[in-house]
Amino acid sequence: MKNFSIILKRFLLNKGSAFGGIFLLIIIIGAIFAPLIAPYNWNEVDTGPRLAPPSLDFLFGTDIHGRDVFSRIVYGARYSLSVGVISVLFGIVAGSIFGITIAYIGGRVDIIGSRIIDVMFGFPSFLLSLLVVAIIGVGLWNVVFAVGLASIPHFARIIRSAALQVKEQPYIEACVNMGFGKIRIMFNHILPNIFPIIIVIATMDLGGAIISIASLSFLGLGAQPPEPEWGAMLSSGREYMRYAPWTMIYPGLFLFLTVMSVNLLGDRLSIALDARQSVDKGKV
Amino acid sequence: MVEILNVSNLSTAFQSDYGSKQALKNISFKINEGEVLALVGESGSGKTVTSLSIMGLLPNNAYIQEGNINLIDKKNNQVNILKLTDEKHNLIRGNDISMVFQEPMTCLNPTMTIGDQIVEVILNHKKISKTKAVKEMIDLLGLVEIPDPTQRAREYPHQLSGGMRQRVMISIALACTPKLIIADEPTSALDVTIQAQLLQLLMKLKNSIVSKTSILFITHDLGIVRELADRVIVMYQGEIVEEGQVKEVFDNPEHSYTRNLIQSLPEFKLEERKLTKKDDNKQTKVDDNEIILKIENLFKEFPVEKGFFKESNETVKAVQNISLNVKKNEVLGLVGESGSGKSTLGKSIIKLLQPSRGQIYFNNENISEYSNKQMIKIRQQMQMIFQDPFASLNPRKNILDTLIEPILVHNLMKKNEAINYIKEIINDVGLPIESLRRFPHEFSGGQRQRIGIARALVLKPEFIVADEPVSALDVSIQAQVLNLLENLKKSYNLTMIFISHDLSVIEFFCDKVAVMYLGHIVEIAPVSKLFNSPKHSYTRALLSAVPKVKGKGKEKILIKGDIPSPINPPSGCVFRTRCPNPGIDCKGGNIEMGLIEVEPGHWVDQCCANCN
Repeated sequence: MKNFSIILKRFLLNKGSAFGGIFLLIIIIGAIFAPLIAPYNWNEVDTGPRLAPPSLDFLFGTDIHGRDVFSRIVYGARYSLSVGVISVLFGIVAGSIFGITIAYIGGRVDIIGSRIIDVMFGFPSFLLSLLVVAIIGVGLWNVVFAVGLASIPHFARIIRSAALQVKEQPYIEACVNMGFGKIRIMFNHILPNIFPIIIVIATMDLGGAIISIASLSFLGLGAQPPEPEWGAMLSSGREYMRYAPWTMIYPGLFLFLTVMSVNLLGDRLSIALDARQSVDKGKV
Repeated sequence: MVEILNVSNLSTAFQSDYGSKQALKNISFKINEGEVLALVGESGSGKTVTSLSIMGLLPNNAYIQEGNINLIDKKNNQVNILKLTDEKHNLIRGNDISMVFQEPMTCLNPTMTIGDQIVEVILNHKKISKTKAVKEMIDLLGLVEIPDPTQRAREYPHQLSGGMRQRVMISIALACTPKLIIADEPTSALDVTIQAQLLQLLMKLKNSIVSKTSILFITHDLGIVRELADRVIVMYQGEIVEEGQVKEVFDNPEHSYTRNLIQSLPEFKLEERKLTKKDDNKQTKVDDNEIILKIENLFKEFPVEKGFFKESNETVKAVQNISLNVKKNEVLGLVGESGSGKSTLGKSIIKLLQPSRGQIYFNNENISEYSNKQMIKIRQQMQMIFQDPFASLNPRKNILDTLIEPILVHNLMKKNEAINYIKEIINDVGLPIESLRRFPHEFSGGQRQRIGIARALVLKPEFIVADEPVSALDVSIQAQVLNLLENLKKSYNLTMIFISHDLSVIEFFCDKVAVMYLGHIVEIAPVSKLFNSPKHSYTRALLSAVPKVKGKGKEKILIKGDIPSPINPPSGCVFRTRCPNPGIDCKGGNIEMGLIEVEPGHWVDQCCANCN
């Protein structure tokens, strides 16, 4: 607990991570309490004049159907955050299982597994997601799955190398000596020891996942109208960009700020967890 | 006598997120010209911080609170080191004060030849031509007794052995004939025989050319202090608890901490035991008839990885043709220098490594070909205590989880029964019950090793391999853990293989000893026989190489050179290349390795058995 408070202190003392943390907190609260915060129904057409500029009634203006952009962004936070988190979760769980397994079993399994990762690295991950969407079809959850799938090789490679290091530790040898089975050693002993790394890479990847999903939605492959996903909102605002820029600016701004906050947080998280080790070493 | 360094009222502290921690508390001492001053203490006593304060090499989070360090430099000016700017300090480092570190590999630049590195130091501080500097460098390498210096100067650090590297470090330290050399545990990372060579070199240097240079020798090894130093300072928790001439401090220690430190040395404990419990022969309990472990012609070889496409035929011959028996309730010691294969043998016996060839019988069951699955049942019977108490405990599991998991996996008891049982064991190893809820990083090294021992005991094994269980611990803690092991051995009816490089620990703890060299057992005998009348020349050299607090001044049998590579060991007797008195047949490598019994229970390699 002492360590936790030190990490928290490190976070708050850093302007970047403090900003990121506070902004994300606002977004998360907004997403949870969306019905209380949003002034209008996100899907109700003609709540005001079409393409009205921002005003006191419509903070971020209205879109072509006269829907309140602010309300849509508040509800959209639910999509953007949850799809990002879910796709990263999917990627990291699969990547961890794959990475730890090939690292621990080693030998031929490791060689073949590593080559599979290399081959998948050959494709740009965005292209890989496109490919998956092309196969399984259009839709928000398909995109989430595709982005998660495309991130597996990246996660697996980092986790494999971390697991290789832990595998060499004497306490793993001690486990073998106790007569523990492979599965127990891999997931009860190696996994907890690389958990900090997993958290850091997952956080660092979250921003990218949110962007990728929004991009695919922007291309029309993900969330379908009228869902207020930010990428989809950007896409539908594109046509009116000239005379109603607010239909694009605000979803874009929130996407940008959210991703930046996540990245700032991730950066700081890796430093904080690293720094803790150096403090421990510094003890004389 | 001229005082060259005067440290007065020095206090140093470390700043961290946890607050500041005092590392040195108001310490004062001086060093005279030409004197060897030893700084002894256990880890955390502030020895290294003292040396770093003098060198001005403290880490960024450390600061000097108060005090003065005055040095008489080469021009006979008195300088207060702590008041110097970084640039001026640089002029002093290497020139007036130089340092020898513990780990020579990390202190030498791997991309430069050692010759260039020495020349660089010389040119940095002296205004002489390069050719002259090169000549000086060759002289220096000769001074530290590196054979064939012109050739060696062109080699890179990784081409040299640990002992050679440390000689290079010493030559760098000597390069500008400094007023003071600070040697921080310079021999701790080396094997005893190599250590003995280096200590002899330091003694020689001290008595000859550099007789005006003083040495501040930092060590935890009291034996070295006794052999090398003139004066000694004992440190404890950042304070100087005792200071005086070596002989006086060792013969009549005044401070209780010093007294404890000396008495916890195995050599003293051994004596104590001989005095107090003459009749309690520790071998009485050994059951001669029941052989628990029997090894026949065991080999373990590791393939050498060569390159991506090349097939390799070469192997590291770690364990070669070893046969031995361990009887019930016996403790067999395995002793040898690093690279002798003792740990590999230990791990092969409990099948953490799959032996290449040979048979292992455990309770008359041949387990040598057992798969990992088949081993699971056997593992309950044979356990291991690991060397590094820091690394051998899972840092993310609390002690209860660590200890209860094996019981539950092997289905020995119900959960609540197991908790009670673990409480008993944790009590047996001398830890409070509350420790069960804590995590490994909350314990000290000695306590962690107690946890490691408890873990080895939970499955109620009859046989334990202890791989250097006390080597990572401070002397006083070492003594406590050894006592604990000895008591547990009796109460749990254990049979053990005890691996150590420390002969005095072996003598204290074991019934029978096997001496290993380059993968072979060269001598095996009951403890008293081996230590009183060693037959093999390697055993003799090993025994005499250990610096001892008692019996200073005994003639040392030094063995030359380094351990040969286990990839291409010498033919015939593997020790012949370093043997101090090889016979004609041994030199030619014509005698095969093989043990013969010279006395009942005392086996020696036939090469040496015939020579002597």
